[in-house]
Amino acid sequence: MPKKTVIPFGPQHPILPEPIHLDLVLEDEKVVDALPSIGYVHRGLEKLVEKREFTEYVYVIERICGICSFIHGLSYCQAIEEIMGIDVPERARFIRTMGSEYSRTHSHLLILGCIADGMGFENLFMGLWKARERVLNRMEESFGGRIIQGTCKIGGVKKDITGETLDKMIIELDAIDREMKEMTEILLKDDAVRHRLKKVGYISRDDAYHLGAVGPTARGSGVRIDMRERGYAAYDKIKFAPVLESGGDCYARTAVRVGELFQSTDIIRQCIRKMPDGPTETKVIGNPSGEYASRVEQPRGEAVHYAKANGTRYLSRFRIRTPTFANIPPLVEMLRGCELADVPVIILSMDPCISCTER
Amino acid sequence: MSYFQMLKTTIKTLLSRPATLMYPKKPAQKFKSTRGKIEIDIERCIFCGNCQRKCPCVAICVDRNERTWEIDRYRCVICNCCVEVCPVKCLRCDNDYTKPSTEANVKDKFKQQKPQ
Amino acid sequence: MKEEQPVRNIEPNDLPGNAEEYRKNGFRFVQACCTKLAENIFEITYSFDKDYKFENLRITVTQETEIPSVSGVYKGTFLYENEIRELFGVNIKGINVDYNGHLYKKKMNHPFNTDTNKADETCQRKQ
Repeated sequence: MPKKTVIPFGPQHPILPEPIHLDLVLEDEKVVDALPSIGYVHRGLEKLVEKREFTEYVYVIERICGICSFIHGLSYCQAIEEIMGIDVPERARFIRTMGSEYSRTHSHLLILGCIADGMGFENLFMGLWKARERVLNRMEESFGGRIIQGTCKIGGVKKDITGETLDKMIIELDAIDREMKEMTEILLKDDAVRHRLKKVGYISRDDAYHLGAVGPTARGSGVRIDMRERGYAAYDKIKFAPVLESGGDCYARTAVRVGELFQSTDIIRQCIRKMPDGPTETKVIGNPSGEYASRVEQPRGEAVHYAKANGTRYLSRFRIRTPTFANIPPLVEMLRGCELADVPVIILSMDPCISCTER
Repeated sequence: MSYFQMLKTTIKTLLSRPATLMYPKKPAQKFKSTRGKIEIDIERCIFCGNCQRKCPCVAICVDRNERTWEIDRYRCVICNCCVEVCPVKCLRCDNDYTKPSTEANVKDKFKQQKPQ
Repeated sequence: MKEEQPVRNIEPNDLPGNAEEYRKNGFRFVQACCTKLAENIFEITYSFDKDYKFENLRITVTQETEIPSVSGVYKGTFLYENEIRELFGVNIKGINVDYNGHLYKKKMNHPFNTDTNKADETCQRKQ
């Protein structure tokens, strides 16, 4: 009977972008089981809701995570607006959609670069992050911050975007598309990269659905879950279809993310064309009372923001269920039966965002 | 079989200008709406204390008797909350970032010179 | 256009039976959330989703009530139940991957069970 060894992986590891800890049970280089352990960046942000008023809590929510900051703020504002019955003007909805899609583009470019770095292909990693710089410049010019945009507020958005900024954006989007196409073709077509990604980290369609996988982890196995189809913000006026692949391995998940990159730039172009004129915010009067769970599509999957309010200025409970929290059980399933050298690529293809998971 | 797909891009990048910026020798790039740091026009301040109450990071200290306004640069997250609630609009957001420093607490204090 | 999110109140012992019903009808598990209503009264909400329809089950318990786990039905729920048990102190029995209180490294037991005062925070110098 082969001997079993337990080796710790993380939280500090040169490959990992985020501190997650896994205890891997090995039998001669094959992983038999994995035990995840989280809690290294737990800041107790859900308890802070008792000390910050509901209009100021949006600043805390935006700073849960650096990569998915815009969509966290958007989801919080949506939850409070649905409880209070506030109608957000059309122009604000389109600006929010545009910000979400920029956020998705920069997040996917980040993790594709990290996957290339995890395989040792540093040249491609730098090339993908160079394309990401253009996206960050556009976000800084229109919203004010590269990583923390600080745009969403209850009732609309804080600042308007001028017509000339929008015109400049359309020209830049072509340049962004060209650079992305050049880099992602290498990712999908080069044989050296395919050998590391194909048939690695397989999860079947039924397993992915019943273990609770969301986002590209689920869509790479053929499960059709995309919260944007529900039609929040301005998505009911935009034409798009979720990107699905049926491979179930790391290559399929990477292909889903590459497909979503180009879909995002297409959605931004549609937003700029269809953006109506008008006000960008509505006034907020009174206190919220009731409960609602707002569900949005983050770059990593479905995020649920559940708010419960009791009529005072402080919310009584705010709970965030981030996509990585739901993707950890499928990760444990994917790691069973793989080689030790494939573990970093599998974890990166699941796209962990641990600072979201440990709020 | 397709290997070495990256070769064309690598040679192109080798022969062109670097894409990075020599910061701090060259100044960092910034745009008009970049949120850099908070500045105050101290002569117009009425010391109501609204910015101190609304700051989510407790970074501002307002002293009415001594007529000073102090901000802790590294506690501030440049969220613009104080700029929005100021009743006389004497706060604004500059698009220059705070310079790096080797001390722990960098506090900027402004004293009003207006004679009573 | 507020979306309908129905909530059904049930007894704790009916929890695995209802979860099995949802699983047979093709629902997937979304989240489990615990709220403190008053001293020693907690309310746990389990949410399920299918084709973007969102439904909830709710149980009201104290710290002494024994709650059966849903991880026999939905295998991926061990993280939610371990977290609720550690942060609030409710008694959930039979979780398939049990961390026995060591999921988070904390200074005190059940940190979310305490009450914080809502007093204004004064500026740094006066604290």
